[in-house]
Amino acid sequence: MNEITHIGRQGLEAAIVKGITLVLILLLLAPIVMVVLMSFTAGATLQFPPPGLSLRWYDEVWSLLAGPSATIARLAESLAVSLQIAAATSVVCVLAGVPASYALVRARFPGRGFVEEMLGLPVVFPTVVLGVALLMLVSQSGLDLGMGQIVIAHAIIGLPFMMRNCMAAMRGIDPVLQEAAKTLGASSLRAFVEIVLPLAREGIVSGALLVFIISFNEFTLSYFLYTIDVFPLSIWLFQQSNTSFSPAIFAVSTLTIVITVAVILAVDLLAGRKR
Amino acid sequence: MSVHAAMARIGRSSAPTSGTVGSRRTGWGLALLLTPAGLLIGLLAACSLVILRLSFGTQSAEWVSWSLGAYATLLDPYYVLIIVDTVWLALLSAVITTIVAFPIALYMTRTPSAFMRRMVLVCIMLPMVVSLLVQSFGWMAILGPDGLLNRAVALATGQERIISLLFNRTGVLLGLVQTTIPLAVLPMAAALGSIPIALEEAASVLGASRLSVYRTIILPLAWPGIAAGAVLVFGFNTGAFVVPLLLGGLKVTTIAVLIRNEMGPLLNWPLGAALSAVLVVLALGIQALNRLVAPHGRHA
Amino acid sequence: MSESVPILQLIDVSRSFARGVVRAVDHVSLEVFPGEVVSLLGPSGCGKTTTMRMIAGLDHPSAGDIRVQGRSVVDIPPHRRNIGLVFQSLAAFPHMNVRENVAFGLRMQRVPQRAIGERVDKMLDLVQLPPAEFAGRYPRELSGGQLQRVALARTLVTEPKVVLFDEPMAALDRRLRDYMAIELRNIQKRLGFAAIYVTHDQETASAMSDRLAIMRAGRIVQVGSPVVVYRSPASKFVADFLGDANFLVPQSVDSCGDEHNLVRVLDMVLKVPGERRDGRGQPIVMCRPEHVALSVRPIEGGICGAVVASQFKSGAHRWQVELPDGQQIVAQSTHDLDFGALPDRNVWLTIHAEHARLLQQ
Repeated sequence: MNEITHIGRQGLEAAIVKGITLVLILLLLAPIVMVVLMSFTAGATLQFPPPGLSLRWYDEVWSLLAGPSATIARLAESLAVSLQIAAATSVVCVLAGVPASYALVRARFPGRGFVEEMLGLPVVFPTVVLGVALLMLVSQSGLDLGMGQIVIAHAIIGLPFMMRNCMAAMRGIDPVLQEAAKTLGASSLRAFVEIVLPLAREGIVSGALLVFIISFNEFTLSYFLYTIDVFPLSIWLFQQSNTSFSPAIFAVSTLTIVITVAVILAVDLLAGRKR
Repeated sequence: MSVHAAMARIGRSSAPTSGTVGSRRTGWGLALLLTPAGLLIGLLAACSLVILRLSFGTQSAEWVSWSLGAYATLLDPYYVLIIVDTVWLALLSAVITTIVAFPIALYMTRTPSAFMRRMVLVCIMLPMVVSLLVQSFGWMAILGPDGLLNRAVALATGQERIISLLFNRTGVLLGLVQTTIPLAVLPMAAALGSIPIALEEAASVLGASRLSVYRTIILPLAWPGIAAGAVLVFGFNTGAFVVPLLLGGLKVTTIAVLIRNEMGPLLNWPLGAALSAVLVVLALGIQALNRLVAPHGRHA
Repeated sequence: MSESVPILQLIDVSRSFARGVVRAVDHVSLEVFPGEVVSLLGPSGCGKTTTMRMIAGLDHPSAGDIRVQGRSVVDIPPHRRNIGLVFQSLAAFPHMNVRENVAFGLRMQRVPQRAIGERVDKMLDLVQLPPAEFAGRYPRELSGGQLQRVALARTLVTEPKVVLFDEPMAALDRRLRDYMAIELRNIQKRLGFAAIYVTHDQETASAMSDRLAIMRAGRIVQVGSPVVVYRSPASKFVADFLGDANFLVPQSVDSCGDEHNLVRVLDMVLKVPGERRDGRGQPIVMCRPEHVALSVRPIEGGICGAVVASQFKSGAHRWQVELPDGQQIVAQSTHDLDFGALPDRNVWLTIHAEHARLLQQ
């Protein structure tokens, strides 16, 4: 790669593009950075700059998580529910997305384009409508699905993200490898398990992780489908922000940010290793 | 899959006379592979039907009666205005997002450092993935009365003047742009990345200035990706709910917020359903635009 | 040979694509005997790869039968046919190291772990990849020739009855390919498996095989030992495909019984072997360059021509000679020829009639 002779990749133009990009990214990340920053405030309000730095709000959140508390109850329960929903959603998306991705990557059949289009539909389908309609369906059917109703809702919107990662990984696998496995005595299923699954593992895991954080942070569907027994963290945060607005919320938010960043970095690391 | 293999055997044992045997065999396997995902998508379709049914009902007899009343109500200027305003807000956000995304996409395709490229990708993904609720707290800390911006202005000008960007259209627009940046950047970067550097060099050798290289080479060739991203953001933001709910401070009402109000507190299900139907048609219709502006726009 | 039972039989096998519009394989019949190497040889698109895939079970015949040791296998899926296949791309599993790659087939056969280790080691030694050095390496860390050996070991370790080779050496350079061909032949002789070698490279095919099956447009046009097919090609296509050949249009052909013909070419009358079949196209005389003799002095019964080009290749001279009627003919000899004294580079040329063949175009 001889970058030096490439016009626009060096000198003033490149510097301008880089400068603009960095400023824009700073702006994009500003609210997230701000949340993290303010969670360390020593004050009791969102006053900026903070009067001092302290861990007092983390201390408070810790006591909320660890011990029973009268004021802001159920934080620990909400966190657990959100993590469970996210994990279950990932599992559902893997079970639905992996075989479907395989079918779309390998098979040529009439209507394939249509099927692919349909599977991408949840990305553009208005989430509010999905939430409202699922609520109607559930209440009409009278079924008590527990957290299942949120899991299914999240799985619908997570599926395209799962499949995008999965299909990208599977496209890179030469079908000849499976044929080779078959001539060596592996059945179709065995060849899939021995060859396709390990080679697509990075894509499947990235997809599952992505679905995990999408579900973990999701608000709209949870907002329509939560119940008293199934009370995800995003709904907990929403209620707290409407009632008592204290920097403790920022500490909890920072917690979700840390989880999200960790998972995104993991996805990126996986993608990087593939290259 | 094991059934797939079994079907393969059954398909073969019937005397193979033509290529149709193969296609019948794979047909069964395909159906099985697509079933789980099909169930999820089927549920989405069922939801659409439920909404459609409810929109033709009358209040408190939604499942049994038939009426066009809800749609008639939508013709009221109040609703028409909100629908138009929602589309306008989405369109505006798409334009701004596209402009903001361009330098970022350009940088991602041009930087020689793979590390920087990945870091930028992570950074633009975060605003989309991190809970908007959490980010709205951050915006409050920045734009709120006691926040960063007002403090900075006060320090600079020496006088206390509250600039309010929060809980109005500006705040909503800000949120809409911020959360959809990756939707615009990714197809754009794919399109920019597929332009051979040799084309730019050839244009330069032929005497084009850098500006005209952008105008005559880069923009036209990247157009499918740019358009695909813009349309995606446009369609996505017509359904905006969390952003106006949290950053609009009840002053900005979009179709989605209206649906929530009708379905929830106001208990007017037919009207909420009719609004939902309109929203679905809008969102999917805008997405269909993709085909018109960018025939190869399947980048994202 | 007569009492030997074929290990593999193709009986009238056809394969059509696109609802019968395209016939990739057209009524192919072939028998392969134990311990024999047969090359399926033909230009790309002649149906040889499809034929091979049908034998392996990766494709299904539209008509006809495939039998292994006398039993039809068309209803048996590939993983239970025990037919080995070395792929053109070699298809080494990228996520498995050499040992895991070679052990794969044994694992599928549920061979006990201990026995797998021993057999893999033995096989790696056989293909000259010492396990101590190579067993732990991954395919991306191997050269083309080493990958070749891994693919071979992986296929042979399960002891298949028939091994199919799909041009596995196409990616190697000439020298390595020749070396591998010899080594492959040695291993084959040692283990005694029957093999079908699919290729468009006639040199490797001739060097490796007991018999050649020449394919063209979905059909097998000739089967025979490399020597027979080279010397007595069944058609102009075969003659042209296998080595270099001169084709001369005779002025007259007269049968003289005993499978010979009196052929008049230019001013020569040659007694050429070959059957004259009526209604099968234009007769044509084929002779190999090494059966055309040149002389700087007039020869009785020879004809005069002018040397228009000459080259020295692989230890032999090749001369291109233009005849008085404009036809060109190539002669080959290991002897030097002194053109210095030649006016207008004129030479006299004779054809060894016994080595020429009368063919139908």
